[in-house]
Amino acid sequence: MLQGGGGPYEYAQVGYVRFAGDASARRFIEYNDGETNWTRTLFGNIEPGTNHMYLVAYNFSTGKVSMGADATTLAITPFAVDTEWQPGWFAVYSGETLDAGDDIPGTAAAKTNFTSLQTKTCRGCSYGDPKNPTVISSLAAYKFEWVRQPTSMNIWTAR
Amino acid sequence: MRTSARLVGLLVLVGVILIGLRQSVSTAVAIEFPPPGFASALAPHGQLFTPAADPAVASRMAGVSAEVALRIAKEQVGSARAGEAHVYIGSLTVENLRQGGDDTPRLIEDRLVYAVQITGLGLPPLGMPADSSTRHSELVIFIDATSGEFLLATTVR
Repeated sequence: MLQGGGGPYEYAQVGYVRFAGDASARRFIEYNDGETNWTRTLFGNIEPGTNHMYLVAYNFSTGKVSMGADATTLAITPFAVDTEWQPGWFAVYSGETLDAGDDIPGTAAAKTNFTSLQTKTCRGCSYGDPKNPTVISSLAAYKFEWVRQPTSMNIWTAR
Repeated sequence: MRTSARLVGLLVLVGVILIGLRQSVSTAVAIEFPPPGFASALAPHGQLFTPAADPAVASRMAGVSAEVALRIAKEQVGSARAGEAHVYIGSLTVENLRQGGDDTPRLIEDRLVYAVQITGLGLPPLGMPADSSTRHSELVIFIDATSGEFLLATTVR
């Protein structure tokens, strides 16, 4: 997820999600212009146990943000984020829930592994290691561990 | 005696046919013409839906029925089962769903689809603080009308 600097309603994200009642996890994108105008699009199912590459990328020419998975572009924000979001953008890699009773992906026996965490901080820059990543967990049941700081980590739920 | 038996048999046959017709009518899904604003709500997100001028004609070109499309939509997005469903048919192009960058082919272009609109929902954004003003009331699920494939689903305020 690329998060704007003006609060929780400035973001563009891609990943996978499984809601209560859904048969399986599926790919999704979601973006928000900062004025609570958000949109979510759901795509096809994710095969359990498979690896995927996700990318949220700011376009320095259009000012818009694209969201993709496995080299497929899934969506582009209809607005230029640099005119809608406040400065101070940052990258977020997460498992998140709406309710504390929900689970983030992964179990102690089968943790969800993130590898090749990268950021690009300027137009002429290359993708590189995230700088000074902060780890936040909102609930004791939501577990985290570095595999290799700052580029690889595991998350899981343990209740 | 033989005539009476034939008459009873005929009546039973007619009864079975009538019951069958009644069941088929009661499970039929009407394909509607979308209300004003339906397509324009999706357009900013690059999902360009053009309703069929004659839904009945378009549905005859489809490989799956509206009933099947509705069932697939509700199976695919089980979290939206609680809402009221409306089924439309038309052509869909998704501007930004591409194999790669801006110059690569669109993955969905001029595709005959069923659009299943589920209303009456209260969908919050993912992981964000959500009061009633930020919740979305609709989900639009696109099903390929030829193959029955789930294509995508988008929330609408």
